[in-house]
Amino acid sequence: MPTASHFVDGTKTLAEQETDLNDMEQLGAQKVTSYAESTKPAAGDKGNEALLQPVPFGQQPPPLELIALAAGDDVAKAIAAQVSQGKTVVFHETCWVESKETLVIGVRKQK
Amino acid sequence: MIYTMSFCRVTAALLVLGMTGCIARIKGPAVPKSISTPVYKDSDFSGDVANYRAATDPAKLDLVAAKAYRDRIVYGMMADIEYLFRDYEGNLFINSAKFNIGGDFLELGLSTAATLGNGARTKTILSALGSAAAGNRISIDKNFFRQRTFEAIVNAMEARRSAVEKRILDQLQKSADLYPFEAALKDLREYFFAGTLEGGLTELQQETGAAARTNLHRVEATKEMLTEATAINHSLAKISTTKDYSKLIKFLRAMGKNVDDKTSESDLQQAYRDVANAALDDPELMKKFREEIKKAGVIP
Repeated sequence: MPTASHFVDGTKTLAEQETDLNDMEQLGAQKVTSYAESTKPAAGDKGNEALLQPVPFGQQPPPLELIALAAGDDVAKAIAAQVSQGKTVVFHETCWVESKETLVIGVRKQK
Repeated sequence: MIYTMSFCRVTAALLVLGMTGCIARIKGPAVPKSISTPVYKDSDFSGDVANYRAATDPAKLDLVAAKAYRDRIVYGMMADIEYLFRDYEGNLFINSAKFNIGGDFLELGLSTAATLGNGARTKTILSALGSAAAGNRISIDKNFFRQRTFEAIVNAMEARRSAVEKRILDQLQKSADLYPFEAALKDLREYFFAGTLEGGLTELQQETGAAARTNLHRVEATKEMLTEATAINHSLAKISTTKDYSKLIKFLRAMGKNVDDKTSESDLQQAYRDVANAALDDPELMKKFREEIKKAGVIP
């Protein structure tokens, strides 16, 4: 299955990055499967990279929501809290957010 | 009380003096004599150039000898340029404190190649290269340089030198008629200036320019764009339910895709996705995408 890749500016706020990722999904009829800070030169300084997989027209999953964890937060607890709210975890990776390395969880509401 | 304060001041002064003394005494390892001085003398250079000219005289052309003389000149000068670069780099580190002050930094950044290094030998090399150190100026943006650390500039100098060195070594594989001494001299000039502060600053400017260009390929969406993208996605869902792909085909053809009503559903969907992904990385294409999708009637 073909995979697309796009870069997002890591100096942006988490909300701005969430908008970028949802725009990619909605416009391209695809879904984000991975999102993390990128070391590729093309990403530029402090860039994140999103990998996306195609979704057949009409089967678009619910919007992606990004949650930033504070330093020292328990990742397992944070994920469990999201799952208990009926959300599925798409990824949990270190990303650039407002130029700072931040652990970010990507979740969706279940359909 | 007064006695105690005076004692403290004297102790502090002695400590500072002692620490400064330590810094001044730090030295690198002893350099072997064989590599601590330039090896390619001016007389060697003049003799080899004369021999090269004789070997490339059309009347008695000897390409094997010409290549040997050319290579000897180039390797000799590269060895000396390398020696000068290390000397220059060492002096830059000693003076690196000045880089923290905008004015001094700027002044030092624009100084000629001979200012900090082994002045006399640099002058000789420059004379052999036929270049003046002065006049090799670059446009300066103070804010740009203030954001750069001294180490980054030295690393950029090293990177630029390595790139030119590789090119010269590759070219030396060629015969003297394909890579004549004059062409090598041009590359040697570039090799020399790549190892100056100006060369490092130029390299950094170019790297920053390249990074700025790649930033254009980052996805830039606004809430309004997302609202429109969601409307497009809903419309695509309807198209797949009704199986009426005519509007999408019209749009894809306007975007340069070779599709028609015989194209399979999955191929049409993938063709659309390819166009959308290309547009996400290209603001100009995105503008066209949003115009054409409305024109085709996919969204009102």
